[in-house]
Amino acid sequence: MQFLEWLTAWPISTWIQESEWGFPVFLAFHSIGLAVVLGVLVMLDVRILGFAKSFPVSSFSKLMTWAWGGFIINAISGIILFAADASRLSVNWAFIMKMTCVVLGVITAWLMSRQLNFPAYTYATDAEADAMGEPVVTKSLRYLAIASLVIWTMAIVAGRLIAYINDSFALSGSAF
Amino acid sequence: MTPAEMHPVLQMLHDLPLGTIIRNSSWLYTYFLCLHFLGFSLLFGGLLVVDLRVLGFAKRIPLDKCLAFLPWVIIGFCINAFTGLCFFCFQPFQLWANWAFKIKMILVALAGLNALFFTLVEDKKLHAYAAEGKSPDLGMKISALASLTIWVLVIVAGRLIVAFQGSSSLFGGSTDG
Repeated sequence: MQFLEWLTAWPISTWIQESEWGFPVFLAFHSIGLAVVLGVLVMLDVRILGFAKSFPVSSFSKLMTWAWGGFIINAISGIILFAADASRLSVNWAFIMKMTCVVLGVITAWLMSRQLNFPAYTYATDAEADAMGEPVVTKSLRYLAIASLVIWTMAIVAGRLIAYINDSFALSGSAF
Repeated sequence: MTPAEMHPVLQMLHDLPLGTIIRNSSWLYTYFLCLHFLGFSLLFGGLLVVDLRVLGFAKRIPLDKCLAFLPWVIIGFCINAFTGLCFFCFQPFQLWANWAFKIKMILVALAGLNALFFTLVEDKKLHAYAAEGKSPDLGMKISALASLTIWVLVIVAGRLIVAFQGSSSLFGGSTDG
């Protein structure tokens, strides 16, 4: 595929392929981004599911901006890591599964933010936020929180498996 | 001298059932690695909520209310201490010789000391300040910033363990994601 070859020929791709540091540097960024995104989302999920009840849910609106920031770090580092190894990854079923999970996870996070009215809280002053009161934690939000935990766990598992799968639709190496 | 004679403690850890079960399983190592990532997300996420608030972010959150997330930090740490110990028992000689591993362990120890300092010295102040509605003082802020910085460096060092394990070739066998 021409597009994949074009990606693999990016200067940054060749740097990752050839240098000793390129690959671990971008993976380190990817892991930091993961910790920020999942850190915030998992805390939001457990709060929705009834833990840490003294912590106001609306305060997560500001923390969510950090989660999206972490997501941008991971989108950029992810695209670069993909570009470096595009033809292998594009047929790697663990990679495809991970991308599916990430898309579902982002949709879930977006739905939760919307239901919790986060955009309004984010731009509100403290006085306005106090006037708005706390969002109601509905049953559908609890389902979304469970879905979020499951989806992101699967994304991590699939992400790990990418390393152990070298050809399409087959497991190889010592992982299995 | 064989490695076992040089490092009797490492050999003892190597022979513990924790290492043996991973060595005898084809999937347990990968499974524990996933758990290690999840544990880290709990640990880092909980700390992010607390540390960012102490540093002055999202001031609307009552200062002491963030601490409700600390149990999750401790759960995450316990998951990672256990899975980490298993990884070490799995291949103690390789890890002991890995400079990234040593740096990571020193950083974790530093983070632990910082957490101890926060718990012993700053925690009481934090509750008093929360009751009076005061902002955190410089000591608390430095401790919070140190916490976030050290844990980010722990992630980086952790990635480098894999990158520089055994050989200098990163693409030897399989890439790691």
